Amino acid sequence: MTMRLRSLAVVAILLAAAVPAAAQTLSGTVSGQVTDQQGQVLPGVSVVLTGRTGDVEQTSDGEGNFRFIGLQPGEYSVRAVLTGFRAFEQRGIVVSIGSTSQVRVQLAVGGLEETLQVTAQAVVDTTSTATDTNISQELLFSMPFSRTNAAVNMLNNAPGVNAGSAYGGGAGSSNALLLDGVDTRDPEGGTAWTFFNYNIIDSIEVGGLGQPAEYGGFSGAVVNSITKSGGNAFSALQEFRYTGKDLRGDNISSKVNGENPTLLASGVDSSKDYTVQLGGPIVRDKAFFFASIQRYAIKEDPAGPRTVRTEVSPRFNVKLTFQPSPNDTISGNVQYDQYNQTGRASFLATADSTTDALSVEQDSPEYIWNGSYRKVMGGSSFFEAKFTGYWGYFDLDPKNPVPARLNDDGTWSGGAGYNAKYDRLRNQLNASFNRYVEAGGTHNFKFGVEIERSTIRNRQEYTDGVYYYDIGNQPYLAYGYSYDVKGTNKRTTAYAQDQWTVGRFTANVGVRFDGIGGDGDDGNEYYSSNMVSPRLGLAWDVTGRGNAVLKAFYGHLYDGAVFSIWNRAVPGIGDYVVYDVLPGNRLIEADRVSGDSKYVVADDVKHPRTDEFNVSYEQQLFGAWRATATYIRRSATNFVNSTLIGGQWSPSAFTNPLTNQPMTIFTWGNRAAITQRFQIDNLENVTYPGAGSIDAERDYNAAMFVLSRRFANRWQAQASYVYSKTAGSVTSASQAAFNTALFETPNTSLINRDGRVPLDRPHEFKLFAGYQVPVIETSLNASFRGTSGTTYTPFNRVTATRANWTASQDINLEAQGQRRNDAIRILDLRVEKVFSFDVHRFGIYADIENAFNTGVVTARNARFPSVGISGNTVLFGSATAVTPARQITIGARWSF
Amino acid sequence: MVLTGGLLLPPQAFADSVSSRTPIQDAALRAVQRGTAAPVLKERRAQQPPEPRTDLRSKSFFKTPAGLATLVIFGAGVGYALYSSSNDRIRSEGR
Repeated sequence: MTMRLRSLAVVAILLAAAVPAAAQTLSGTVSGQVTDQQGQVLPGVSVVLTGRTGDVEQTSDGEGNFRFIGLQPGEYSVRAVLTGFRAFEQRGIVVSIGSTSQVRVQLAVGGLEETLQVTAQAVVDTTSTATDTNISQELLFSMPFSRTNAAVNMLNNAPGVNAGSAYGGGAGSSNALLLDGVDTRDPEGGTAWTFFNYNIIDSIEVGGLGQPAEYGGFSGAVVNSITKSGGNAFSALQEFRYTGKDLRGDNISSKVNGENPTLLASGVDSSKDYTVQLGGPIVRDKAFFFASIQRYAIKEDPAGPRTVRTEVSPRFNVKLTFQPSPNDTISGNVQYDQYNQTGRASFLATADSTTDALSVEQDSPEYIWNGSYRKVMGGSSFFEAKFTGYWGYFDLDPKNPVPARLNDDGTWSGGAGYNAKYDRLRNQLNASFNRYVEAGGTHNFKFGVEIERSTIRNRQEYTDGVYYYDIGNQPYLAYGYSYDVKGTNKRTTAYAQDQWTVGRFTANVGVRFDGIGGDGDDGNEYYSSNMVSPRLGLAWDVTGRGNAVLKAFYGHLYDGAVFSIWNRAVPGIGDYVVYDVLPGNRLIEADRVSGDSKYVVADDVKHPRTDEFNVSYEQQLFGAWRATATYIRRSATNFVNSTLIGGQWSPSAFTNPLTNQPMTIFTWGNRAAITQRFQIDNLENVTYPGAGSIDAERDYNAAMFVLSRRFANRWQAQASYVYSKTAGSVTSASQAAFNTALFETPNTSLINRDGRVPLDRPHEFKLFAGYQVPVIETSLNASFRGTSGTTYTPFNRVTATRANWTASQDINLEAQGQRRNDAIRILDLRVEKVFSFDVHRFGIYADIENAFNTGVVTARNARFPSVGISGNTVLFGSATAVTPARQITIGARWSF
Repeated sequence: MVLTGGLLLPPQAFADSVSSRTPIQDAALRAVQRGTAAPVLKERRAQQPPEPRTDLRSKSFFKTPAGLATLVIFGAGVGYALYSSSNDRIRSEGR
């Protein structure tokens, strides 16, 4: 039979919704209903779903419904055929992580030789209460996204997220970074540990608001990066990127340089980065491979007195996928990354003052492994198990292996002065079971468990055991200690959730239990906390046509398992020793303080928690457009920090050097009577006898507006505006919720502590736009970020003697957060000329980061009246950091 | 086999909708029951638009100039990364 393909543009009958609903899962769903032209359901229609690993076929049930579950993210087509009707085909159905793409199939009377071909267009989810941003392969391939840390950089592109702080959460430490559905963060502080080739990412889901119970271990956002897989067709990517000193600008103004002479033109001197990838079938429809190799080398002139910093990293990724049947998928992948760095800043001298001689070199190899099994049972159930882990370390060794020396004028000399070794082993098993049930509506139940075991070992020692304090460049004191601390995080999690849809209403109900323990190397348990997180979301399909939804959510979010909460309580720290330095560099011990831990963790400590409430309205506009308005409130609580046990405080008159007005500070009143010991506990109604009390909190309130247009007719765009306020007595800096010494004295916890936090940015505008110019086949893509500047608060450093404390104290001189750094306006561009031949796509492009070459001051010296940096006196309010200058990167790639 | 299994659904599976069925639905149901609801996979493949000249589903692709170039570039990339991993490493003391 001769077949005719007849394409009819019938978009009005079609609704395809990308529904970010569930999951740390690796998969998505395509479901829909078959009807005739009168809207009556058609049972018994054969529906074929075609993806890159083959076909799956179902028959519509008595209500005309079909559902393909457990699908690997990617692009699919659906074809429905029934004798007596025209065939129906919809292509370009994008299945993203944890999404349900809904397809409405309408069959018209006619011959099978005719095909009604339609394209997807609507993008509103009417059942989920999550608010996610899915960054598709299309966007990843075309936008000028920074590639230094794929997961974290993608996070920062989402509305409401800046510098790693998501919706007012802790920067870096409060975001779950999932690779193929499993968290891979550093178990010490919850920050990123695993880095991977940007080009191995197939798609990324950035979420955090209204997340169901299966998501945990975060109080900021969740980034789920899914890696590429092989399919039935061979595919390849070869890419080379280059930038050099001649391709970067200089955005340090004379004014900035005058304020801070250490701020000079800096940036990448050269960067060469290539990727080669190959994927395809081993056995058609059954077994597939994907391999990716990257090697990049960067030479940089960093800010400050260092002249060179280098990075070299060869990375190897191999992924095998076995599909013994259309319903069983087994996958395994391994990454080896051998990252090296030279010219890294010393933690003693800090980045401001590290010279080349004071720098350290970094050796940090790493293996990441991931295995998964997915079993689809009919159209209603599937099981998924994933095992992910990594082993790695990073060692820091001094370039110049001699002790560091700090002169009385604030300058450093000698070498970096220390060796440090950080070892990690993290393993996690996730297993879950999904089942769709028709009972009083449609239920999508999901039950899951997670088991995590992570070991951390941190070691450090000073070069020759000490570093020196000099007067007039002659040593007079030496100080030394070393540590070797170890810990194991143990986490067991179980969750249950249901997405229950009745008519136009959907309830997303779930509960999550996490039990987190922390064991020291001595076998003792130092930390134990159990938590229950309820999640409740409601969604209402406003029109009944799937083009508008009103949704609301309330839930508890707990941070992940982190060693930093309790690491000060474990043994492994050597004695702190001070030496007098005699002629001939002879050391005479002058003082010794035991290294035994002074910290104990409260038995009933509660894990850091954030309560979230949000309400959102989402509306489809003009076909491919979607508008969303969301109100978000997050309240962070259960902060865990250390406070002095049995301390008494005495008021002491102090003249505020900023205002010359009198103020009160506090000295340790009973220092002679008690031993300095601390309790690590929640900061709830903490009393400082003689000084006052505090109930630590941080609140985030925001109104978020997003207008997005999916790719169609050669262009796509997303614009967002967020108005927010983040304020409280605990900042949103990394690990601030559980790892600072700020609350050990009232000077740093009570005095001017409450207010807008440093990462508060009231105004945020972000825009992505891409257009493919016809005829000349050139792709233009732009990313613009405009935000308020961060806040800073003047402080005065009061000596340990003045405060009668064991260390100097930084005391705020005015209420926190009343001053701001400059507003940021950064435009990044990509221009790509595309040449297409048959299946091959060749592209030559230029990425222009900071196209306007703006030199926005992003940080200022907050210490009053001044601070010494590399022998320079930098006054309060002077610039200490500026946005990176314009950098143009040239790239070429060939893909099919 | 999946198709066959679907088509063998007993008629009572659709009993709830019998009373409101339209003539078109009846026709569809009869087609299902007769087993004439189409050998879908064969038809679907037959209706695919013309394949591109390069068949990326065949291993013979690697015998074409583009396939050979892919293998050569991929091999060179692997080789240089292996060379780099053994020559560029800054090995820490005691590792």
